[in-house]
Amino acid sequence: MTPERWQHVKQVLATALELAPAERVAFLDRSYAADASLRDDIGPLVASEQRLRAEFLEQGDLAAAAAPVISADENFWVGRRVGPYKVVEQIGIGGMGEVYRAFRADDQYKKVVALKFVRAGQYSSAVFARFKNERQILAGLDHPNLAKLLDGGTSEEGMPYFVMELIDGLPITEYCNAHDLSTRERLKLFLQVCAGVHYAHQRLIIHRDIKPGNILVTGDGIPKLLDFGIAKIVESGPDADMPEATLTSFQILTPRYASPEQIKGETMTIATDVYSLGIVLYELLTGRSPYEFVYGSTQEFAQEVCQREPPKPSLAVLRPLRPRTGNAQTQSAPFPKISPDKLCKQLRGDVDNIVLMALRKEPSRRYASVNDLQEDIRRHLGNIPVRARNDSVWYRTTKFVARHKAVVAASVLLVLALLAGLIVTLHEARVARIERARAERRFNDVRKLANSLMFEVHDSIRDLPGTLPARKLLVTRALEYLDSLSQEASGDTALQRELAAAYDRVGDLLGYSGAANLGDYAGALQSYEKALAIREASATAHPDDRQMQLDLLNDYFRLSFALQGTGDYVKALRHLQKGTTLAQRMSENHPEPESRDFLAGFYWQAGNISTQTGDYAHAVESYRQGTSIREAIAKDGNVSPLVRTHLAGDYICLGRALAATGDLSHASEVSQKGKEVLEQLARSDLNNATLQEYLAEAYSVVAAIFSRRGELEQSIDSFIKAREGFTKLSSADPTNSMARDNAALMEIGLGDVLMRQGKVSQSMAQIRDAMTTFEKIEPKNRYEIAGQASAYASLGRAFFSLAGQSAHRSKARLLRESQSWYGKSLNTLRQGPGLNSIDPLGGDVTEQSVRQELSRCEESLTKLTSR
Amino acid sequence: MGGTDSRDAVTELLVRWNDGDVAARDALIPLVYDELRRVAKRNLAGQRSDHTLQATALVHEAYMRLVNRKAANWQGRAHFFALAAQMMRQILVDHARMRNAAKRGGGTVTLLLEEDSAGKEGINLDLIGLDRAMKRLASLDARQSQIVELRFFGGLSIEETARVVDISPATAKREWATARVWLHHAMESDAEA
Repeated sequence: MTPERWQHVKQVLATALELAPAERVAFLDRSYAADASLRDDIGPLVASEQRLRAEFLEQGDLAAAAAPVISADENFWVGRRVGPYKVVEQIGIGGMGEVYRAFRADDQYKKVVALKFVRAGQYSSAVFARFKNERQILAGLDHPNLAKLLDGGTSEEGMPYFVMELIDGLPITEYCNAHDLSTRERLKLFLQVCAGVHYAHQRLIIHRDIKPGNILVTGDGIPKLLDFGIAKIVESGPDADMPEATLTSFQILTPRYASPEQIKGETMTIATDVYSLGIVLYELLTGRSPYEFVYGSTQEFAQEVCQREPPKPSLAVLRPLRPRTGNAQTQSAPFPKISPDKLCKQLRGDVDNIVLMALRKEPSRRYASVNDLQEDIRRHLGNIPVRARNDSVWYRTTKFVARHKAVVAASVLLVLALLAGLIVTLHEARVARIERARAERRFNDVRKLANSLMFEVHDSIRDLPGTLPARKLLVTRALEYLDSLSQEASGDTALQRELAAAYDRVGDLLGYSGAANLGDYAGALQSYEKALAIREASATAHPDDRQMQLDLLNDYFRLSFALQGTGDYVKALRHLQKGTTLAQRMSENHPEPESRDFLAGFYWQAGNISTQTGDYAHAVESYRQGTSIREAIAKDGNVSPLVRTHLAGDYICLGRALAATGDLSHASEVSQKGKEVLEQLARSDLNNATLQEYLAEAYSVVAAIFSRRGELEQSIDSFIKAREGFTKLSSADPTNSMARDNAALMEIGLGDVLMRQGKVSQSMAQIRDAMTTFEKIEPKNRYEIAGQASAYASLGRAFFSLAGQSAHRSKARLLRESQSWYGKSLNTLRQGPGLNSIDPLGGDVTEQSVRQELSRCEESLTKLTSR
Repeated sequence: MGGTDSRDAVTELLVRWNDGDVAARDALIPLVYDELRRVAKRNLAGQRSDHTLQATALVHEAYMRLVNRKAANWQGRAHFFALAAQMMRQILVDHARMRNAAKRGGGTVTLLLEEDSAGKEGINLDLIGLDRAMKRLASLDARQSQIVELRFFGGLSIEETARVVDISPATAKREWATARVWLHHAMESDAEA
């Protein structure tokens, strides 16, 4: 038939088809009469139409035709050759993969292996990406307790596959029951599982799907962990690289073994695996799931997992076993030969503690590593006390906040909970591929809240004493969130700025020696350096953005300050110089108070470093420059309390440096000025811990200068005020190490003055208190080391002075006592890195000064004994 | 991944194709192909016994995921559906071929009825036979073959099909009815031969 002919035939056929059967016959007869050849063309078509199914080429037909073609064909691979392997049978099917038994066809030994493919019907680029991810992860692992990757490739059909060692074994729970292992034997077997997981963790791999079904025990009794299908390489960031699926989607997790953070969609860490191991251990030891008493929907179950504490294993074994419905798994009852009471006794105490520590809701309160979990099990097996009882820092922090500042805690935790919720919806939005606008809105919500935490909430409690741990918690959490967001939006300048600010905050809290801090100077440095790197890049990219330049100034300042705290003056000066140059240029171009205040700050900081290196004349010069800049700012009126505080600081430091050069009258004058400014400021802001701290410091300087001028009564008065100030701060906030150290230093100063008044026993009591304080804290930084050395030296001095006043008989004993304290002081000083003086006034402990005093003491001793 | 970026890209390709850029069409093919396959796979997975594969749903879903609806006009949509239907046909027929090849050791025997699935799945259409018949129909009447493609593989209604091919719904209905009979007959004769 030609196309032209068909056009004609088609017309006739169409009309025929529209007619009822009887009319159709008549119509066709008429048509055939007109054109006989139509019979041959249309006859067979009409006849065929009689046999045509109603659904032929209709919608249902496509479904029926396509289904067997596309839908998973379980036997597709069986009997086929894939690379050098011949597939024998399917042995498992999981969420995203299917596993076959196969052997190497070209191998005379016919080595049997397991072949894994992406599960049919699950082909999507995300699943293929995961598959590739798993292959990559496995390639890096080689441990007797982990299933080994042998080979990999792509089949003729274009399907990726990989080859693993075939593990013929039972899931660990079944194995234990089938072999009727004792509690002790189960723990030993579990230790091997831990070894495998720990090995993976050391390679930065989190398994995220540990459950008995993924731990098979071979006939030789060796447990092997398999299925790294949803494992993750820690370095790859907080899940930013894994699109949709897997992260929060609940189907892929096995809810029974999922941790609270997995359920909530929070960041997963090695603590997630610790948790899942805890569940496995729970089941191994009790034969029950910790949440098996929970009836209800998956969602209710998830809620229980996040909220309810599981019963102690020792109590769980006393419950009747819950019958399993429709579960083909061989649930041979565990421990058939041992009575529940006896089992309870075996588990009570240590084992309870170990399992429950692994199962804690907050990841940070679990074992810090699988190694720690292993260690505790080993300790238990060796009858050594376990560590599981100890609460973690996080926990103590939370408790601390709860105890001290109920209101603060409530708001902090509330905001944190809100954030966690938002993060979950953010993930969900991505998973569901809900429109981008919504995801973006969530993104911004999270960002806003993280910033609110970091700045508004943090700032509102910053100056309250005792809020240091709460602030640290707040800021580090907020940083985590921002950090994870910034990986999703790396080109976002505003976000980068927020991130840098966040790093600054963390640095401040860890060890900004200008204010209350946690004394971790190295940590602070790292944080500041991260901030600086971000800021330098931003400031270079936006040379006209003043705020960015100011932020950069801030980082130079903090870094130099922190470096000074660690005694690294060279590096500190380098940042100081960069900052001074930039601040000078800025204040010349556009003299607003901020950049001038920074410029003054850099001079002040230069003064500090000169003071530390003993170059007092230089220090005086620097301090004077800073002071005059700030005095000029203050003259412009409308001066902020911050600038006034800084000015007070200038006065105090200048006073101290002047005193060191011997200019005591000027020293006294300016330090009094500083003290008065601070007294005023502190009166108007009574809860401001930072101001209280500055004021206490001012008193200490004033006290030292009085002491130098011989005005001992006034000196004692000021020392007491200073000591009271520091003590108050330190007891309001036990983590404020600086206040604690300073309180002890004030006692030494007080002791020295009392000594000069001849009140020796009173003096010694003060100094011994200080010494105890320092010995208790095991000095870490240079301030603490110097403080301790100072206490020893003061005791040496006290005994020397006592020797001078005492009768001949006890003189030698006292001098020897003095000698030994000086010696201790010298030894302590030698621990410090390049330590000179910490205080140009009070303690004056340097190796040189102590050695001088020591030799004076030894001289007296020689004289005494040679007589 | 169906994000805004790829969506804009697909939409732009459609617009360019609409303006006569053939290269744009060629660039679209793999995108549409991948998306359809993904959607089809997903919809079929896990519904082995109770599947209701709706080509309409598939193509529409693929369209929603691939095309920015605000930016694409009706012409773009028509083009897309035409392309999608063509792709669906290719996907299903390719699969059927691969499967047959696997089952029969590479032979080319085709049957109207799949004997192993006829029992449990009811009478199944031979996709390979249909494809062959459609090719023959195309040589007689290309538009009719396309109408079948749009109706059957694209899941479009008579009205939608009419708009895509730019004919009246009544004509579309007649073209469809005769094509269906012609194909049925062609496949019957093919099977007997």
